Amino acid sequence: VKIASSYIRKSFKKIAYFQEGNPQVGNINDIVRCFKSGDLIIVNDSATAPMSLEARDRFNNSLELRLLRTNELSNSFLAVAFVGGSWKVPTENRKIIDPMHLGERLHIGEQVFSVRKFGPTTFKLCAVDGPEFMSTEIYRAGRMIQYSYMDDEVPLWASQSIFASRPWSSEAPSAAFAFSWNLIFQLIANGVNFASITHGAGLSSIGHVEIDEILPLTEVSMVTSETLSLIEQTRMSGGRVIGIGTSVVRAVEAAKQLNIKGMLTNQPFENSLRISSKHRIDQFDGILTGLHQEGESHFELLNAFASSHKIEALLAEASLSGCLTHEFGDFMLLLKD
Amino acid sequence: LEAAIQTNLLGPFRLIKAVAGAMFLAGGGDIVNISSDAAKTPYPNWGAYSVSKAALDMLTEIMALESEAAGLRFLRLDQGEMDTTLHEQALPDTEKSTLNQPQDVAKAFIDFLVKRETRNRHINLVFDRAFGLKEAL
Repeated sequence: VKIASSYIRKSFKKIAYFQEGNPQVGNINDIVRCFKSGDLIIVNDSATAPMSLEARDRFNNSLELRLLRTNELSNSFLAVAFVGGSWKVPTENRKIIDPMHLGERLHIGEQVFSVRKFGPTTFKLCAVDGPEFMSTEIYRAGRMIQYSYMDDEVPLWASQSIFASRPWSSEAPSAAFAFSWNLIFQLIANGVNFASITHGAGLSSIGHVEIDEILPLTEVSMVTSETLSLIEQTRMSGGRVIGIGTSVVRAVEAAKQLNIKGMLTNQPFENSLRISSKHRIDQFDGILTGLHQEGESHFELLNAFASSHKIEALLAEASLSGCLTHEFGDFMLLLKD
Repeated sequence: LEAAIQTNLLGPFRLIKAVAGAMFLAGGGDIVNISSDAAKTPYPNWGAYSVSKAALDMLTEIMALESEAAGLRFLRLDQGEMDTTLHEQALPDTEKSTLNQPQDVAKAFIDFLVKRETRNRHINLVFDRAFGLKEAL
């Protein structure tokens, strides 16, 4: 399946799905037919923040910092620093600076940060002063983290879904790009309900072995008890629950585990749940997601919904129909048998 | 004219687009666009401002129609001439006693929002010193 290299779609988005057991590809709006009154769609309402920042070290070298994770409470973040090259160069071909060579201070715009080594190539940055940095300065100074396979630089607005609110993600929860207002209204008119969770999707890879081993880092999720009860009510009344994207499934499955232990509050929680093919997903009947292929980090989670064989058949059909993959590509809908 | 369109039309348009999805997920809500008498009545030398506010009024009406299913309610507020710094700069010779006080308008408006008397999806509100806040056609 080819990669989508433009964030502007000149034609309708497509979706691959099974109809009476046969893989087929249609216009994204065709999925209205796959849902029925009483079904519940759960989306990730996280916005995507501009986590690429230009910084200067003590020698006045220009660096590109990519924030792996931010921490609002301690006003600090984990980062890696690239020197030389632009976003058009694949990250595996770019040089990452050892934090020991950065010195003790980094300048980002007007702000000064102290550098603390975290791992061999990662470091923690703490604001020296200016407690407002996290939310305001990232938006003032940052740009979206770019993908080298894109034709043009992706602007902030193009990385937000219709539902985007809390700016927790470094990478867009892109399954939600499937939804236009037109599609939402058609679904509502058919009696389909919507609910949301928030999950901050971090970087899943950066192209360097040492760093990719620790990625993705623990991510932050928030699932309210209201959303969990909506899921329960939907299933009790015979409706189906469909997650929009792998982040939604991870967040809800983790929240359910916390809830069983009586530890779920309506607050953000650290989510380190990994879902493999062996995981028994019991909160969802299906998932709408991007065209993830074998070997990608999200593929294993999809195996919890359908066999590799079935997914491969869907991907083959998608490829034949000219579907595109990655952030700005097309979609697939997997419903459990 | 471009600056007026940026501020009074594109700004609200982009802000509404940014928040509408989250408001829909939260079960709906009210979006209030601040309009003006100048959106409906032509005043010489107020072209850029009037055109931008007239466009905002139409945007409000269209979005009210489009987003009914999302549970959003759109309000257009014409608060009349108010005793503000901006008014002082624009029309320094105005007799102050003829101007509406911002706190009076704000209070009437909040009372209206809290009461939620009307079920219309598009609401046109005009503040008048004699009659207070009224729903207009």
